[in-house]
Parts: sequence; C-alpha cells; structure tokens
Amino acid sequence: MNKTTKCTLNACFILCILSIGYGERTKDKMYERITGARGCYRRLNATHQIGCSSERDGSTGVIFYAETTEKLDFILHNGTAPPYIPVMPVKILTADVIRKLIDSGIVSGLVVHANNDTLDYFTHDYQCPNPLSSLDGTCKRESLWNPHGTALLFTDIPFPIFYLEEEEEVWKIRDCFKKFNDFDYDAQADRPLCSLELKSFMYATTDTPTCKRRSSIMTNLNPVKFCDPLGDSNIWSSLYPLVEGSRNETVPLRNHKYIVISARMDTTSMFEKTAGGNSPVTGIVTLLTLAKYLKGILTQDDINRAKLNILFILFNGETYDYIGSQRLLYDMLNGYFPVKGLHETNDILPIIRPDDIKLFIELSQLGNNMDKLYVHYLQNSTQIDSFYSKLRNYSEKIKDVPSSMPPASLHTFMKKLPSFPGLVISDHETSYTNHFYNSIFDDAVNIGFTYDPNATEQNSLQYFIANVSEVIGNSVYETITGKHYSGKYTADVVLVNELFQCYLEDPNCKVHRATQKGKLPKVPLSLYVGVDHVANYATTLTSLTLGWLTADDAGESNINCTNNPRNYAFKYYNMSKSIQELNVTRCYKITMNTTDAISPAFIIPDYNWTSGQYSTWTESTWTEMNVRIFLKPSSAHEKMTIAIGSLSVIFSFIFVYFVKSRSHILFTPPLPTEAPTDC
Amino acid sequence: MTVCEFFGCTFLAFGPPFAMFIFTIASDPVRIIILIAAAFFWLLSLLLSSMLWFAVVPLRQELAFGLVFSVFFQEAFRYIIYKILRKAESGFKKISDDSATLIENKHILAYVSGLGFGIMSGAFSLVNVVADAVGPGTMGLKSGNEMFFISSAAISLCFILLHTFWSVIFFNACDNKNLVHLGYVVLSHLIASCLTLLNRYQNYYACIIPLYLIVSVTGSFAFKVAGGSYASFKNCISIK
Repeated sequence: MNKTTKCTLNACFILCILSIGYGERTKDKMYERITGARGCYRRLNATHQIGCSSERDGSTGVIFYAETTEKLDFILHNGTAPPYIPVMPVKILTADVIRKLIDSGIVSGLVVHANNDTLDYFTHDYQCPNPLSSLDGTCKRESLWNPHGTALLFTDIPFPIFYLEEEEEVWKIRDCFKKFNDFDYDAQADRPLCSLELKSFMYATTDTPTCKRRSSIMTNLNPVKFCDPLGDSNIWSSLYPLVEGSRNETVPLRNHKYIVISARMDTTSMFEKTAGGNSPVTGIVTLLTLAKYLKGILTQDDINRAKLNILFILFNGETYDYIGSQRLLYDMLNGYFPVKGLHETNDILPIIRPDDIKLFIELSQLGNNMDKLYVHYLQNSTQIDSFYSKLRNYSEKIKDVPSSMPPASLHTFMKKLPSFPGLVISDHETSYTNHFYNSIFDDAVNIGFTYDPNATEQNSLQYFIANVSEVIGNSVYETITGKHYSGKYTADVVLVNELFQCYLEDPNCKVHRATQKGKLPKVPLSLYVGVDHVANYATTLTSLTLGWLTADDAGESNINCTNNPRNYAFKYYNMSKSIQELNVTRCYKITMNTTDAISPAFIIPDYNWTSGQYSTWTESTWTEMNVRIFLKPSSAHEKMTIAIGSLSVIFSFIFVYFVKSRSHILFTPPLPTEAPTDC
Repeated sequence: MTVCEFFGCTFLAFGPPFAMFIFTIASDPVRIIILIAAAFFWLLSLLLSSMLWFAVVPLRQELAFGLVFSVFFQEAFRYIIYKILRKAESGFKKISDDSATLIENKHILAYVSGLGFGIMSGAFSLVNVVADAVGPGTMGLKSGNEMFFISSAAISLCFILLHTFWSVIFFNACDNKNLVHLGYVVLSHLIASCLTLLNRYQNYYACIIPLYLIVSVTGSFAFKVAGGSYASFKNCISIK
C-alpha cells in the first residue's frame, strides 16, 4: 500500500503526465495487450525441430496489414522499416506464402486472423500423414490421402505465428496500422510506427535426443526441463467383463478371443487450439454409440458361448506417429496389457496378446460423405472377407477398397505383424473427403452438425452415424452369434446428437453431466494429445463415457458403491441412469481402464533414437505466450535522445570541473566571522 | 530497441548531478554523509505527503492538492535539515579533515544538502519512467507523444538543479533571517511544481521552457547569494 502511494505522489510531484494519478505505470500507456491470440509451439522428433518460436524476449516488428498476397508482396519489396510482422487473413496461410516470408528475410513474425472468407481447404498436415510410421506403399503418388496438405505443421519456421480469432482484437491492430503506418511508405523509417511484440519463446531446439540430453541430470548438474514427450492415455473397455465369478472370487477368462473396435482420440493444429470435427470426433462418437448398441443386443451368454469378447480401444497421440497404438502394441507384445506386472497364470486378469485379436475394426473419419462408406484392407483373409460380406448385407452403402490402408492405428499393428486381420471403415476412398484434416476448421460446420435436441431430422449426420453404428453392430453381432440380427433394438440417435455436442460445442453436455459432477468451461475441449504429465480433460471424460456405456448395473446408488474389497477387474461409480434421467443415479460396475499412451522410445533404456522404430515426438517447454501492440520510436528520435544525453554528461563534467577548480575566484569567501574570543 | 532512449534519458537527468557529486562531494566523507541525510529527509517529506494524500480520500484524484502540500512538506523538511546541520556544526569540526572550509563556508553545507534533496527527488520522479523505457516501445500509442521520455528527463534535471539552488538560498536566508529570500524559494518551488501540471495536456514545451527560465533565475540568484558576482564571473573567465 505504502509503495503505491509513494509512487503516486511522486508522479503528482513532478510528472503529472499520467492524467489519472493512480498506481498506473507508464508501461500501461505504452503497450496494449492483444488477448485471445493462439500461438504455435515447437515440437521435436529424433532428427528435426518443427513449429515456431519467438526470440527469447519476444519478436518485434512493424505491423503490416495485408488483405491479399499482392499487398504482402508490396511490403516485402518496398518495406523501408524492417523487420515487419504481416497481419493477414487465414486464407493466405499457404506453404508458398510462408516460403516467401522466410526468404524475404525482413519478416520477424506473423499474425493470421479469422474472417468471413469461405475456405475450400485448410490442412497443414502432410499429404501422406504420418509418413515415417505408416506402411510403405500405402500412400500412392496418384492418390494422396490428404492432397491439400501443406506440411506446414511439420516445417521449421524461424519466426512466431499467432492465430487471432476475436474480431475486436483484429480491429485494434488494424486501427493502429491505419493511424501510424498506412501512408507514405518511403518515409516509414522517419516516424514512430505501430508495431507488434510476439512472445512465445520455446526452450528446446534441434531434436529430441539433444533436448533429452540437456534435460538430464547426468550431463547437466542443474537440469532444466526443455521438452516433454507427447503422450496421454489410451482408453479401453471390454463389452463384458474379462473375468467371471462372484464379486470377491473372480477368475480371468483366459481362453477368450477378442474383436477390437478402435478409433483415434486426438487431432492437432498449427495453433494452440484444436477442433477435430471429422477426425477424430466422428470416429469417437461412432465407437461410443456402437458400444451402447452392442451392449444392448449382445448378452453375456452370447459372448461366453462364442468365447469372443469385444474390446473398445481409443488410441491417443495417433496424429504424431501413432504414439498410442505403438505403445499398446509394445505392451501387448511384452505381456503388459491390460496391466503391467501380472504373471501369466495370475488370478486377476487375462493377459491379452496380439494373437488373441481375431478382428480389428478401426473407425476412421466418417462425417464428410453420407452416401458411401469404404472398407479399406490390405490383404484378403477369411475374417475380413466374411466381415465385409456381413457389412454389405446390412447396407448398400458399403464398398470395399482392397489393398488400401489410409493412415490409421492399424498401420502400427500390420508393420509388426503383417498378417494382422484388420480393416478401416472411413468416408473416403482414395483421398480424404475432409479438406480441413488436423486444422482449426475441422469443426461442426465442416461435418454439417447442428444440435437438434430431439434428433428429428432424418437426413442429418446424427442419423447417419446411428445408422453406421447399427450396420457395424449387426455385423459384429452376426460374427459372434452366427445369427442374423433381427431384433428391434436401434442405435440411440439422441445419444449421437448429445455426444457430438459434447465434443464440438459444450462439454457440459448431458452425457458428461451423467457421468461426472465437474463443471467445465463452455468451450470445446482440446483434443490435442498434449504432454505426458498433463491429463487431458477430453480423455478423462471420454473414458467415463465409454465406461458408462459399457457398464453393468450393480444396484442402488449409495455410498457403498465403491470397489471394496478391491477387485482389479472393475471400477464402481455412481452415475445417472440415462441422459433422459440425469437425476436418477445407479451404481455401475465398469470394465473401462486406461493405459499409458507414451511412446516406447521414452521407456526403453538406451533407445536408439535413429532407428525410427517408435514415435519420438516431444514438445518444447515455454513460459508465456502473449501479444501486445506498441509504438516503435523512429531511429532518428532514438539517436537524438542518446546524443542529448551524452552531450549533457560531457558538458556537465567539463563545466563542473571548471567551476570547482576556480571556485576560489568565482565565489568571494565570506567575511571571516569574529574570531572566537574565549578559546 | 529503445535501450537508446533509456540511456539517453538517464544521462540527461543524472549526468550533471553525477558530475557534481564526483568533483565536489566524493572527496569528503562528511559531505557524503550530509548528502545521504538530506536525501533521507526528502524521503521523510514524501512519506508525510503521501500519508496526507492517502488520508484525504475525496481529494485523491486531484493532483494539485497533493502537489501543493507536498511542496510545503518539502520546504518544512528543508528547514528541519537546516536546523539540524547548524546544530551539528561543532560535531563536524571533530570528524572532518577539511572542517575549516566546511564550517567557514556555510554555503557548502547548503549546496550538499540541496543536492541530496535534488538527487532523491529526481530519482523518484524518473526511475520508474526510465525503467519502462527499456522495452521495445515508446510513448504515443494511447496518449502522449514521442517526446515524453526526454521531456521527463529534462524536467527531472531541472528539479535536481532547482533543489540545489533553493537550498543555497534557503540556508542563507535562514542565517540572515531574510524573509524575502525564503518567500522566493517557496513561491518558485510552488510555481515550478504547478507548471508540471501542464504536462497532462501533452504540450511539453509549455512546461519545460518556463521551468528552465526559473532554473536560470534561481541559479543566478544562488550564485549571487554564495558570493559570486558578475565581476568574479568575468574574472574567472578572463584569467584562463
């Protein structure tokens, strides 16, 4: 308190420039923060760094507001006050433009902003996503999976890039540009210019091994963590428990085989924001709907009779070289799945190995083409052929694409086990129908989703996804029971509708309210895999949802709904009975669990980084990301200031020395006081 | 980078007092002690003014109110340090190597304590401004203009010099019971401080030019009080 008042009064005393005499600093008048800007990170793999970073104390540059590439060219050729920071609509963000900006050498940052342009495509992943960890020859030159991909996401860009969504903030920048910069370009260097400071300094450089070495206590006595491995958790759940028997004396069902139904859990984007409408949300929603549908039509007896259970797996980190599936396969091959450290003959859970998987069905992007569904597989086998013919029986829309495999978790399995029986169901045949793959615009609009509380519109995405779930569900039913499904049970369209809302619009949706009590911010959850030591909300919520949809009712909801005595095969939760009856809770016995989705590269001691065997992605650490506008003084003014200051010092030294040396002449000594008389 | 502005402004405001310190103060420990004591007394006056400002809630937004009272507090403390220094004179005799000049020429005490006052007030008015000048930006985005920093530095220098001169005049006036000189000091201090109120209209010249006029008038006055004259000035130059 005292400090503020002191400062304030002193401001009153001499410099009353601050028109409000409160504890406001001069700084507050000089800088204006731009809120809501989303930066881009730096990531590293075993050999490269990608993404962007600012200078350590922020990159600064003069604002140039460019609506078109022509305007951008103008400043790149005629700019007289470099460095510049162009501010441009997101539509111009292409590989060519970035190349041009880098080559010009006068650009120190970039801000792209959203506007009302309709985009035809916007995807910055590779044309062949995950090129290094996919099977060779699956991405053909004449039919690239992601033909519009610019690969900018995987380019090392030497300046920071920010994405600005709020129109108001864009106007702030634009107004400042118009007021100070947008005239008389030849004489720009002679006047103060409106500039931007972009701060997003990334601590890691070069590649993951370098960063790991620098962060290690063995090489550095005071290690600072420069990067974190990308990773989160895979979610899995079985349709019916992996064990049987009474609650306290369960025995694992060792001789069961499995049908795996999987989807990916994550997406990414250039900036600190993700959307993920078609990839992965359509896959996740279909998987969850399918889980509920299968729970409804298959009984424990069907499973026991066929000795064929169903495993639902959501892989995380698949965007970055299949982190989740690589780890899961590594765990399975080592006998660590479902839980690490169990002996072969334990009495807790059966150990599941890749051999136990009879069929692997992967749900890829499903939302951009409602007329056809494509079944991709690499080689024919009896399981695949028979499953395909079942699918075909239930729907005319299904078409197979032999010898084809779009980027999918299945690549990981087939790389290790070439005859692994797997197929991928997707909405695309030879290249993505999703033109916004792994970008901020792969949103609800992209897949044509509008929330419809009662789900009445028959031609909607919701009905399509419910339909797809039924077709796949019926085929799985037939595979397990050997009978054609003729029951009345249907996939829950209302659930589909709610699930889409959960992921694309509001995380406080009915499904999440049914499974947990937390209150979440009303912005879509990030589906970026993130770094290993931070748990994603999306993963936790999805795991609860999957658990809930495959749960068995365990009686009344009360405080005794706990796992006591502990049974490692289950979890017990109180959850709502259904999305229609949120206030009626029951106790549920859940088989869902999670496993680490952190690349084996980070857990194998002395892993050979150059082997290319596993994903090695890490994300650099950083402390702050912010953007502010300020006025950059002209260099003439700066020179004048320092000249005046230096002159003042030199002159005063000479003058004071002169006066001091001649003070006896300059000042006549005062008359001597009367001599003390009584000394 | 406006590190240039930072150094420019710091040099401008603190170059002259630094030169004065090096050549006239640093050689004598007693002078340094007096300088620090004076600076401390200026801080006490600031403390009292801020307490008053804090206590009178309705007038907190009024710069002029705090400013006027602050001037009176400063002058009161100038009187207090005068009294103390005069009382302490006999003590200085015992500890100082150069006691003869220090005691005989009473203006030296006045000059040293004035510089102490000035340096502290200059530091307080400028330090947090130049601290903000280091960043990449300058004034003018929302209000003010490019001249803000250099004007602030010039005004600070002005007040550092004024405090030195005022003390010389003030001490002499107290010795001689000269109320007119005392009145001049208080009045010119009030006027100079009130001139800075003009800065909010961003017309820095309107403030700086009259301020430097006051500096030159007060400076000549102090020169005269300290025993200088036109003749001695001429003497001084011609001998060279």
